[in-house]
Amino acid sequence: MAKKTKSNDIRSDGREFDELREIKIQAGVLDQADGSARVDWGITMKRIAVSEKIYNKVESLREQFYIIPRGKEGRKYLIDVPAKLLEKIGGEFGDYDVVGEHFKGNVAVVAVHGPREPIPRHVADPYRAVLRFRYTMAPFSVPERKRPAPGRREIEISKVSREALQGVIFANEYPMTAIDIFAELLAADAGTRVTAITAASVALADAGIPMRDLVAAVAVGRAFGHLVADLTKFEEDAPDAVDFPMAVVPRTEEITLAQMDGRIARKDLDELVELGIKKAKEISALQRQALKEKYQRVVENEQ
Amino acid sequence: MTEEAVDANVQQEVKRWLVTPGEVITEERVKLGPGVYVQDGKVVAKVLGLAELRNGMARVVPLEGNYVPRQGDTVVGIVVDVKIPGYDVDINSPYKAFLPRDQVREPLEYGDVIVATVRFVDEVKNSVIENARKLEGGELIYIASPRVPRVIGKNASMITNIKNLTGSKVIVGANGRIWIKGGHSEIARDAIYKIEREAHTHGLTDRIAEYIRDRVSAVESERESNGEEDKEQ
Amino acid sequence: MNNEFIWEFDKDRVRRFALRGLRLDKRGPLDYRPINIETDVFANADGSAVVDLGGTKVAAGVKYELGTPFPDTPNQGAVMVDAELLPMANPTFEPGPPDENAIELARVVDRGIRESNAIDLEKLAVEPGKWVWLVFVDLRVLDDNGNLFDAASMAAITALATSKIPKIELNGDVPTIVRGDYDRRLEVAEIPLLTTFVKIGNAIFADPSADEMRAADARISVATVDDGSVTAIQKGGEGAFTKEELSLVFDRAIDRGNYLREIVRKVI
Repeated sequence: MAKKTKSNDIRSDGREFDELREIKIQAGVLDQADGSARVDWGITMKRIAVSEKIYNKVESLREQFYIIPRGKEGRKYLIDVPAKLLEKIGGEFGDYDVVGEHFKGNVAVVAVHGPREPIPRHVADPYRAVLRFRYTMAPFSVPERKRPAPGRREIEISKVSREALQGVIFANEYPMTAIDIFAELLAADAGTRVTAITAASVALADAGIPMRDLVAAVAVGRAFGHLVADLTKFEEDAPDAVDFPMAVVPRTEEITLAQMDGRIARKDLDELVELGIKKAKEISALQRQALKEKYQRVVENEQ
Repeated sequence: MTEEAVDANVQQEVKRWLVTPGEVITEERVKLGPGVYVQDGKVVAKVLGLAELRNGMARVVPLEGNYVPRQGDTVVGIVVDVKIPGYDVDINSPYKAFLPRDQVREPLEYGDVIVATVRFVDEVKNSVIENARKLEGGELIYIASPRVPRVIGKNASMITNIKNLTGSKVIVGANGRIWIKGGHSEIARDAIYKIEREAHTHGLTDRIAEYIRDRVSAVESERESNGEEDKEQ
Repeated sequence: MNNEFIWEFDKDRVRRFALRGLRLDKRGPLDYRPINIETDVFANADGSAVVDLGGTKVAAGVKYELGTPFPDTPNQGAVMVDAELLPMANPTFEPGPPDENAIELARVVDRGIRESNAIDLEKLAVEPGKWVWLVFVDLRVLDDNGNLFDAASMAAITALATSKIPKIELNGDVPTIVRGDYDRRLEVAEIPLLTTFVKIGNAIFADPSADEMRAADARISVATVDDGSVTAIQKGGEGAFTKEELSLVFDRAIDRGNYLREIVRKVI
């Protein structure tokens, strides 16, 4: 287990251990789709300029904190630090200047086409709508360019995402049709499938598909000795990392997606599931707000 | 005052609010209209739409969604296949409609636009339509089918306004297809799109009437000053 | 659900208006729809842009990778453009590998950039003969409201012009990329841009909308640069252009290209 030092009480990116990253959801972003949504889910990184002495000290902090050195520019030494972390341990960087900031996280655009006649016709079910989910990642969404064709990981994610949403849809109201969900990740940074599922629920509602509830998804787990909500890539790479994406039906607390990567003691599992349910409810409030905001925009424009 | 009169006079006071799937409408025992379901004694919204609690009934009027045919609906369709017993008609729905030959006076061709009534819908939502009439010329537009009731209005108040103020012929299909011909057809079309965008707001009938009047007088005073003839299609 | 059957109906209307030189959305024959361009949108891309052209939305991302040069150009890096017409963009787009339309789009955008010599490929040689920069430009079409060519062309050159070349570290003999650290901006000497026109009857319209694309007899895209040179031409569709029509299009392409260049320059 990690040594207990003062900084053990601070999360690697400065958030509280059960705090979600910044999530921005917009509904109705595409014209050709029946329903659509865009979700930006990540953290704000500040770029700061520090002295050479501080820059050399930074290496020791990097084991525990999500800090990225960015080399020398002119006479300054640059470091990327999560904004929330800077608020908490700013003192470690001496006299620094903030020279910029950027968003580091997932950007997903999800479209729903349907209910519509399925192609090919033979997949149609006379009793209910058939749901299809296609998850793809842009080649530039990840640090090393990815080939455009969907690989095995994308196909697995497509399957479990579809299964996370299928149960809440009143599919029997649309026999012989297909409801197609297309999720494209344009930027990826840990939690891509939960971003896609969260966006897909909004897109489905935006398309007028009847559902029991909006499904919200979040990844919970462990990193650096703490149980956490909403892991960053840095946390996913921790030596003791546990990554547990979940999708939840907020009203009933049913869990429609559960996958786990890592090794965890039985007693921690219950706590993680509770954490996931709690966070999913927070996310579902953001989903509802996004759907309603779409209509607010119209009211404002016409007045 | 009867309940109906109350509703007609104070339409604004019928509580209508925007809901998303999964939101609780009420925990009282009420009749169930469309767009809701019951769980654990709670009435819950099923779709994105406007919730209404009125006269002991709870329902959600959807704001989005593709058209599913219902018996009795008037639909505007396009002939997409000509067969011996009749025609396959596209009604802007995941579901097709079939028009028997004896239900239309003249033979039809691929691409013809018709207005008809839905006679019958089977378990997989395929429908048979009847009493079809061909529509010549004009233009065909489409809006989201859940917004169509707003285009028609209470007691057809909205659609009557549109027709009278623009002088256009307008046929509104429940399936979201709307045929417009003659008169100030462009203004009629723009007014309908405006209703579609603002379907969830209050005071729409008056606002649309004003909008049309303003546009019509603008066009007519321009025509007067230019001495132009009617340029419409 | 606006499906193919209403498109047939729309086609007639578009053609009837075009007979009188008019467009359904009341634009002039050379008018472009409103354009919005965002840059630096995706953190993992080395350069990125999203273009919204009258509702058509295309995202472009640039990634620099190290590779061995092509045998016939040992001292040059390479720019490679790939396009995906995502099924979300249009109900008729099916999932699967790029079809002929996606491939055509990618290759025409690529030619417009390559032939303009906007990028000095020799400056992309890291170790001439052994290691060069391979510059991948990936176009993802998110929403098709007509005229994918011009939107894609703007997105591609904007992403390139705002992109940064990563730093390299030497591990013994092998250079490796330091992800997220950048050395310098890519120098882009020209802003080649495609401008697309459709022919409907005798009318020629710039920046075709979705229904104009469907009603068109033929379509032509022309890439131009500042000095009025043409760096790519691609005619599409079953119909034909007369040589007078071609001449007209070339003149207009230069003018419209300059109009679009002004917009792009504001964001790079």
